[in-house]
Amino acid sequence: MTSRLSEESVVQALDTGWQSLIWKSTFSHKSSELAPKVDFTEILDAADPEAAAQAVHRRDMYLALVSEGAEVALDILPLISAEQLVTIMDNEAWHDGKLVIHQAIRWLELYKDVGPEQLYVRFRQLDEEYQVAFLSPYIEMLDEEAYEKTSHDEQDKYTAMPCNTLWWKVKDGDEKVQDFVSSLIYSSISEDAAYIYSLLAMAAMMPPNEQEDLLTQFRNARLEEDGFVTKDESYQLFAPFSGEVLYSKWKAVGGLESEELMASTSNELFLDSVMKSAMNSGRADPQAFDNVKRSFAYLANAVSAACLVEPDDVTGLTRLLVQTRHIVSFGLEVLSSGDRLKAVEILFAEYPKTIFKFALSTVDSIRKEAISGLMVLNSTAAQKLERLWRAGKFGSALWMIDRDFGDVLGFEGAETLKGLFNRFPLINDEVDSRDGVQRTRFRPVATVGDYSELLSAIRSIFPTPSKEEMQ
Amino acid sequence: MSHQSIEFNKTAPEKNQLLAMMFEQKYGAWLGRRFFEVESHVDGPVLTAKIIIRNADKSFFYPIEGRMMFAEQNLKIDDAREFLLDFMDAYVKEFLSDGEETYLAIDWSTYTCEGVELQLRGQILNYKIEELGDQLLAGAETFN
Repeated sequence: MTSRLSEESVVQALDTGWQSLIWKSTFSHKSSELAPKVDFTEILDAADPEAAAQAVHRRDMYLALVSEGAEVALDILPLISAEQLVTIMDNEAWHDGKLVIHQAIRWLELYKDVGPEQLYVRFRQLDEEYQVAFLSPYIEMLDEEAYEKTSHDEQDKYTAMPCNTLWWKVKDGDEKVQDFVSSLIYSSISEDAAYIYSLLAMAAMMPPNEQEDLLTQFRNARLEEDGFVTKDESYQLFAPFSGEVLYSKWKAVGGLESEELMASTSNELFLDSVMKSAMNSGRADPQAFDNVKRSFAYLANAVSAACLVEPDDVTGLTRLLVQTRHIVSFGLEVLSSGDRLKAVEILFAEYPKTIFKFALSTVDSIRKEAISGLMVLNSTAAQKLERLWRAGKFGSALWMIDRDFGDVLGFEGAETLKGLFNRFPLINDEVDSRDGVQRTRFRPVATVGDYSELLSAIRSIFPTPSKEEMQ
Repeated sequence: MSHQSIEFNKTAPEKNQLLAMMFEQKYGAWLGRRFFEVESHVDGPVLTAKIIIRNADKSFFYPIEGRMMFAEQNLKIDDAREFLLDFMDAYVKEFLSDGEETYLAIDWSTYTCEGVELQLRGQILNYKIEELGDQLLAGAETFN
C-alpha cells in the first residue's frame, strides 16, 4: 500500500489549491450554489408531476437529489427521465475514472423499493454500455453441453433460464452485488425474457473492460457538456495568460456608472453587487441572470480536474465555486475599474473563464516580483520555484517554499509566499499559535484591496532596493 | 505551518507531532479552528494509535483510535505504525470530506486490509458540555 502520509500525498493535497491551506472567505456565500434550487413539493403538486420533474435541467435534478438525500426523495425518483437517470450514474457510479458498481446499486436499489418491476424498467433505460458493463464482470453462462460436464456441486450454483438450455450464475462480487444481479435477472425475466437473454449473452461474452472503456468516452463527452473538461484543459485554466489586450479593450470603454445603483454591502463580493446591478438596471432578464450564474458553476466544474475534485463531490465543487467566484470578482473589479455598470457589460460579454485567467495573470505580476526577491537569497532554489510555478506544479512549489525558504524568510514570510503561489492566490488573514505551533488562516484574493495588501506583504519581505543601493 | 518529511529515526513523540502537522497540511480546508493530535504506543504485542481532531476548548473532541497485533502478523513496529495510521488516514479523509457524517463504531470493530487485521473505534465528544453539566450538578448538590 502506498503511504497516504508520504511527502507525495501532502504535495498532492497542496496541489489542489483548496484542500490543504486553512482558508475562509470573509464574504457572504449566498450566491455560491452549484445549481438553482429545485422545489420538490412544487413538482409533486404540479398537474403533471412527471413533466415538471423532467423539465428540470438534468444536473440540477441530480444535485437537488443529492442535497435532499435520494432516500428522502423517493417520490421524485420514479418521475425522472432516462436522461436524468444517466446523469446520476455518470456522476455517482464512478471513482477515479473507474466504474464502481456498489455506487450504482445504491441508486438502482431505491427503484427496487419503489416496485420490483421498476428495477428492470430503469436499468433498461440506461445506455446499453452501462447495462453490459455493470453485469459483464459478474455473469457466467453455460450451455447444455458445458452444464452437463460440470460436477453436481458446481451445477447447484447455476440457475436455469426459462428455456432450460442455458444456465447462469453470479460469479465474484460480495453479497450486495450477488443480490442485486440476481434481483435484476429475476425481475427482467418476468417482464421481458428476450431482453434478458440478449443482455446476459452479451455480458458473458464481452471481453473484460471493453464496454467500460467505451462508456468512459460517452461519459466524458456528457460530463464535458456540464463543464467537466479533461485534465489538460483544466490545467490550461491556470496556465500563463496575456491579459493586456483584454485590459486595454475594456479600458477603452468609458465609465458607465450611474447614481441609481444600489450600494453594495461590506460583506458582499463585487461580483454579487454587479449581478444585483444587472437585475436593477434591466440589463439582464431572469433567464440571462440564471445563465450567468450557471456559467460560474461550469467554471468550478472546469477547474475540478486540476483540483482533484470528482464530479459527485458536491462539497469540493462548492469550495471551488467559492474560490473561482472570488478570483473572478477581483478580475472583474480590475477590468471595470470598480464601475459596476461597466462590469455588467463585461460579465455579459466575456466568459467567466476569461476573466478568471485574466485575474490570475494579474497576480502573476506579484509572483514575478517575489521570484526576483528570492533570487537574491538563493538563486538556484528561486529558479526551481519559478519553473514549478510556470509548469503549474503549485503543490511542489508550496512544499519547496517550506523546505528551502522557511528558515530564511521566517514563518510569516514563508506563509505569505505560500498563499501567493497557491493555485488560487490567498492572503494571510490571521496567525494563531498553540503549543508552539503557528497556523495561518488565509482568505482568497477577492478585491483590488486584497491585491494591494498581498503586494505590500511581498514588498515587506523583499524591500525594493533604493536608488542608492542599486548604484 | 512548516513541514518536514517523516524520518523514522525520530522518537515517537517527535514523529507523532510531525504526523499531526502532516494531517493538518492535508486537511486544512476542513479544519476551521480545529487541529490534529497524534498519539501512539506499544503495549506488549499491541500497537495502539490515536488521531484526535479537536478544538481548543474541547467542545469538539474526536479521538479516532486504532490498534493491531503487529508481532503476530509479522510486522515490524515502524511498518505496523505506518500501516495503521495509513488506514486511519483513509477514514479521516472520508469523515472530513463527506460532511462529517461517516462515523466509526463506539466499540472496537475489526477491519482487514491487504491481509492485515486491525481494529478501529471512535466517538465525537463535547467535553465543554460535560464540564458544564458537572458544574450544574455540583451546583444542584450544593443547593440540596
